[in-house]
Amino acid sequence: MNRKTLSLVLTAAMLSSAAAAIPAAAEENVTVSIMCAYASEDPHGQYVYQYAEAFNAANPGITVEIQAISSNDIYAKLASMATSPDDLPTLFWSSVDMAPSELDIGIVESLDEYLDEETKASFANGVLEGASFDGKIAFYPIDVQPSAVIYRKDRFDEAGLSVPTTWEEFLECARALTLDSDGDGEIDQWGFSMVGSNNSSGQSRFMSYLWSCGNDIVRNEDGEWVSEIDNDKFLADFSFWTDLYTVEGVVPTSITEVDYATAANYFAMGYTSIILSGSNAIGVAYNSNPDLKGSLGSFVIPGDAPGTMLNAEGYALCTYASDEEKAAAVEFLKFFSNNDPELGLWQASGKIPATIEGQKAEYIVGDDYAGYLGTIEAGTVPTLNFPGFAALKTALGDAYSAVFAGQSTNEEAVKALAKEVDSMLEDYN
Amino acid sequence: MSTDAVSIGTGRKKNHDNAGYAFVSPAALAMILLIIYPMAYGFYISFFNTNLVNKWNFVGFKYYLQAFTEPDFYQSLIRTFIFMFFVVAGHFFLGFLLSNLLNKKFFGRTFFRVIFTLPWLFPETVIALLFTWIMNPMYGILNAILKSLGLISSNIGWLGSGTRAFPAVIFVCIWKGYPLVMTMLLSGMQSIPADLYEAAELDGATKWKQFLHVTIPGLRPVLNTTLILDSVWWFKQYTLVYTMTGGGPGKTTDLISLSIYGTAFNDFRFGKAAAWGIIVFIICYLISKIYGVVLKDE
Repeated sequence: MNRKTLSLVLTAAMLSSAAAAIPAAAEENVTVSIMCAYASEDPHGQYVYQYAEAFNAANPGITVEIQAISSNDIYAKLASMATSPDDLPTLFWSSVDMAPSELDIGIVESLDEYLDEETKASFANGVLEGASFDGKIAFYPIDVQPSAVIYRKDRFDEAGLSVPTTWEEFLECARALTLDSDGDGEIDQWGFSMVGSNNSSGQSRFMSYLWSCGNDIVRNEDGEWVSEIDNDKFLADFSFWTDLYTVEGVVPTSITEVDYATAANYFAMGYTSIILSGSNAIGVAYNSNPDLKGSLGSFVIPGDAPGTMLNAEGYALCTYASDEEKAAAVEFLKFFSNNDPELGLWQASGKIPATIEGQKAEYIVGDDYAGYLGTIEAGTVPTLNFPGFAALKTALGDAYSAVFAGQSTNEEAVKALAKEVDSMLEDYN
Repeated sequence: MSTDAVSIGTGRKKNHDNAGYAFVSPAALAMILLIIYPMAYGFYISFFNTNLVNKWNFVGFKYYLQAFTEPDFYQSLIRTFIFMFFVVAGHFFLGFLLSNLLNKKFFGRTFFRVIFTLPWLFPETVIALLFTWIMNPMYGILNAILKSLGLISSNIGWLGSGTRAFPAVIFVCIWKGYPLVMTMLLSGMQSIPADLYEAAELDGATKWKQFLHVTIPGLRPVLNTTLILDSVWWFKQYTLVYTMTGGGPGKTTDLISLSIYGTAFNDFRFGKAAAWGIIVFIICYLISKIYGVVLKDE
């Protein structure tokens, strides 16, 4: 056989073997790519990789790939990728804050037809509703993060304080716990660890406070979004919050610099005694200061109305994924929820599991989680299907921040806020 | 000349033209893809209320009109001009001072030239975080030093105060950016012939007059370029200010670049942000034109 003939034979053999291999590979290998915010966080991010590895090992033919990303960046990334949808991941981390915007750009596949009744029944009361918009399940809930108030039981006992149920009582507690602990003439311990920074963490807490006072902020009226800001009650409630810093001085100095990490750290280190937060702050406090175990309690946000949404978090399924990818992704989600009896991800992060079984876990039955379970039981604010949710939060943050900085009075800030929200609603209606 | 000769000549010219186009085409293509197309697309979306995916509501010049009728945009613009003025002025003050000193001969001059260039070499985020820690109201070293000197009695929030955040940010931006101006001016000074200074000295010019009548005119081309570069660079500054204050507290440090980013990627109002971006582009272009006219090298 001469060289020319030999090369032709070998080429033909290579092509035929490649052609035979392609359909086999296509049939056997399904890749589920996941853009994940849990994976970028410590100390619980490691569990996402562990669960993916365990799933890959148990399911030959399916490969789960994790792409870690910060929750603050995820929507901007998805929005830019949505302009060339072939690059979108099969699953992406989502939350009740982000889901309306993601639905708005058409990248969220409803999970209703992918989840069997048994799986749906495994979620705790209200969780699926908390992940649903217009009656459709927008994302698979992994945890719930309602807000509640964490407090130092030891300091409350020492000062003879009882758990507040109104914001006026809350202020009394904060006043009593604001003091000069070392007697050098300077306040060094504040009652309330407010998150005063103008970012998503600060804005969410402020929104919780406003809801707990009975303010809707925006509401849907016959398909049109309308603002509920320019009224005396809103102004009074707004002023109460800003007065905690500007008048009462019960929150740490330079409050606009206090973001969630700083506020949680102040609380853990004993500079403050009360913090309004998701249950993840308990995990932060114990990690930073293990001596606090046994000294923390939590209670439902004061006020007459529910002060928090259930704040479910989880994974949304992308509309642009193939049917095989979607089916494999749903299998992974079920595995993710149920494969770890130790609940490593939830326990390390301090988040509350979304399932009935998960909510029976030992780590959430003490006083520290009592406020969170009480909040879930008492009922939360229904999910707000407003696509401009992020912009609304920014506008609220700009308003309180302007007062904290001494740039505006409460009246001026609320007036500017009402104008900004009206302009925003024009774009979203 | 025969007709054939003319046609042959024209043919060669055409070949030369084609070769020229072929040589510039990669650069032209890169410019079209990386500069012209994004700008044209930005201009296009500025006429829409859009999320860039499935909502494209035409709004015409609404966002351009809003920019001039609603305070958010023009207040941010004025704030940015003030910021740019003080930062660039600070750079030139320090730049002139240090380049003059470092242009003299003294022992260890190279060492000091390297030391004074260091701030320019650090990434902006690193510097921003460094100063955020230095100025932290609870455990920042700045408050500790001022307290130990007896200059303050209680901790001060530098970046959390409506009155102190803006000057604090300007200070950090001056510190970060002066080495570029210093280096440019120093290289300009080194290119001025020593004869000119000797002649001025013989004519009885003082050091100040030598600076005014020899150094400044000799630096004019460098000044022109540096001023344009520095102004436009700091007019669109984002990283340092965002990392230090996020535009706050309130809107005290909310520069136009932060406003545009926030409008696009926090509020997802891409059309409005694009309209603001186009206006800022025109302003930057005008700044360079105005400087070009004012500092024209005659």
